[in-house]
Amino acid sequence: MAASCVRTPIFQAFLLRHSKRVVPLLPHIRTLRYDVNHQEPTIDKSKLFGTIEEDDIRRFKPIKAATNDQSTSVFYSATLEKFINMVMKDGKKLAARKIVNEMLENIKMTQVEKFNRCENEKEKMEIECNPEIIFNQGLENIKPVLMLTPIIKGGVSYKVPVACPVHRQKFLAMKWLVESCRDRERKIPMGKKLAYEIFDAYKNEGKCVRRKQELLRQCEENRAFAHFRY
Amino acid sequence: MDALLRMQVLGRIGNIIYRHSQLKTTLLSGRKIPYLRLHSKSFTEKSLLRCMNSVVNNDVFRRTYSITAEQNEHTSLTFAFRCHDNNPANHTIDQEGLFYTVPSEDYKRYLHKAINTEFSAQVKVFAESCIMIRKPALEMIDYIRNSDLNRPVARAIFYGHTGAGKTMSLCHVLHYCSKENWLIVHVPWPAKWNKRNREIAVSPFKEGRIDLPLDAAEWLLHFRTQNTDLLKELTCQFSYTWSKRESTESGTPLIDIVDFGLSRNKFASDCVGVLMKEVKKYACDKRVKVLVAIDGVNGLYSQCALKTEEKENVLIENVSLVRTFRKLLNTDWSNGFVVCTVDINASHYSTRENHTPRYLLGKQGFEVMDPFIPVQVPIYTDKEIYSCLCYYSDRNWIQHPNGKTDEGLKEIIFLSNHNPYTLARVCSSR
Repeated sequence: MAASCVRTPIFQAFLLRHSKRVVPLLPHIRTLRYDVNHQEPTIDKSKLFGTIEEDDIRRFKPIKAATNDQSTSVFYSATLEKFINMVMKDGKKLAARKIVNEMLENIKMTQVEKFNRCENEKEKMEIECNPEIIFNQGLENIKPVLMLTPIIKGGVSYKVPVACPVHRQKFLAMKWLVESCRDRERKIPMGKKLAYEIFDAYKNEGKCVRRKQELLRQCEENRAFAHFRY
Repeated sequence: MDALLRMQVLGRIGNIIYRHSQLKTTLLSGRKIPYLRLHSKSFTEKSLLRCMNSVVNNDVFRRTYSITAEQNEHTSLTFAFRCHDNNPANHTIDQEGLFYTVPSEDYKRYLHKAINTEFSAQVKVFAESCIMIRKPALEMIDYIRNSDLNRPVARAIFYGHTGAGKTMSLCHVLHYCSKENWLIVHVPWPAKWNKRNREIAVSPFKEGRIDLPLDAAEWLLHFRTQNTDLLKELTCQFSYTWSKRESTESGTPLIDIVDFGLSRNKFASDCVGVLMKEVKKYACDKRVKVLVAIDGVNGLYSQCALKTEEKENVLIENVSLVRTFRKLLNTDWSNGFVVCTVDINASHYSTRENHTPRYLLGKQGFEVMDPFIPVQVPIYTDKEIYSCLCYYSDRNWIQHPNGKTDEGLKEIIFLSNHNPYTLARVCSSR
């Protein structure tokens, strides 16, 4: 009971005000605060102003507070917001948002230039200009289907290939993307580097896709241990 | 008016109204139609016909409208945004808010260095360079057209908030004067010369003066590209001795002085000074009409961060390039026009509180420029911003499917706050 009390934001605010030293807030306060019953907030504007049915679960269960990232804007994309958080360093959200916007802009510039200069009608139809579609498709190409988990059997730790859950796939894809860009040359702006990586991933080439293929190869090598999962 | 044409135009306007859901609902409900769509304050069916009558008599509307209706079949952005007359001399207030295309040869020759990086990237992506016809530029072109060139030179200043369109208005004026065969003296951004990392040299001409050899050479190349033909015609009126072995006799074409400055960077700043002296003399003798266009003129009067080799601060008055262009701002010559912009980003960091000319020019600059014609460059009106969004949509710049709906457009307009630069940035990630 005491532990759950410490983790509430009200208590933390109390501590901050009445202590002379700075008390560090515990991370992930949202996931700790909400229990299983809490429902996700409604973000879709069209659904917000309609009537709720008699047996809708929102009438009976509590609802989580919407985060600052979530908005009813027509341009809101949950994937992009997650990606912005992964690009962010030291809590500098503005810089992260600027970088991701620059990435989208760079992707769009290359494709729209190709489109506007193309004379052939057939080729024009095939050029994809929407940066979000290219980004999502690139991420899909990086997502690994399997992953290796360590399972201890008889005192020995084995790397066992296991189906990769959806949320883990998304996380790994974004993480690899950001990491590979951070390793690159420092003089090129991050937005540009991300754009180059996404283009490669869209065509199923490049560092991130190779990393995924490396992981899948290792899973294939260790397939003898697959039954250790059960 | 021709009955058949009236039917056709009614049909076309009806088409617009049908396709545009917001208009349809407001019409059906009998509420007033916003200014945004049909250029008039309030509508019933009768006044729609009245408006249509007056509008169809306008040649420009008839031409542009008949083309764009077919082009924009599937978007809710059905608005005529293109002007088909590419000569700035023919632009009038009727074409306000429309985009005209600068031919690519003119762009490469005159405007290539005049614009900022974001616009040059946009030109590359859209595969064309289009400038919006706006009131401030039209006003300035009017002043130039009607000015008495026998009198001492008139000075005019574009001022406004960051991103409002001062440089673009200057480009429009530049394009107009180039078409009228004026000699153009265009300085893209003098504030660049105040930065600490510039390569400096001690002037061979006068003691205590500081030269900027590379910057002078860069400017000479720009001057040469803009005025090649005129420079080949005009010849030196005086002779100049650069050193023991190098000299220029009177009677050689001015382009030779330019080439000399480009090949011998040591004398480039002095070449600039010499050229400006010749140009002023030719203007007073009525040989050529001269347009002096300086983007960020307050850069000539702001703090200088340059340091000599002995780590001493350089006063801006001692920089030879700055001295040369300051002389052009005086009223001791005629047969020309001086158009400038004052930009908050051209001033030193400590003096960036206000965007007005008196504040940015400072006491010294204002005393030189006063009296001048101030022209304010405002942010986009509703009509202009809608035209701009139509243009972006036409060039496939708004890619998000929701970006072309009413809600999306409203959001984009709100986020940009009607500022042209911010609009471009907001649309870049949608």
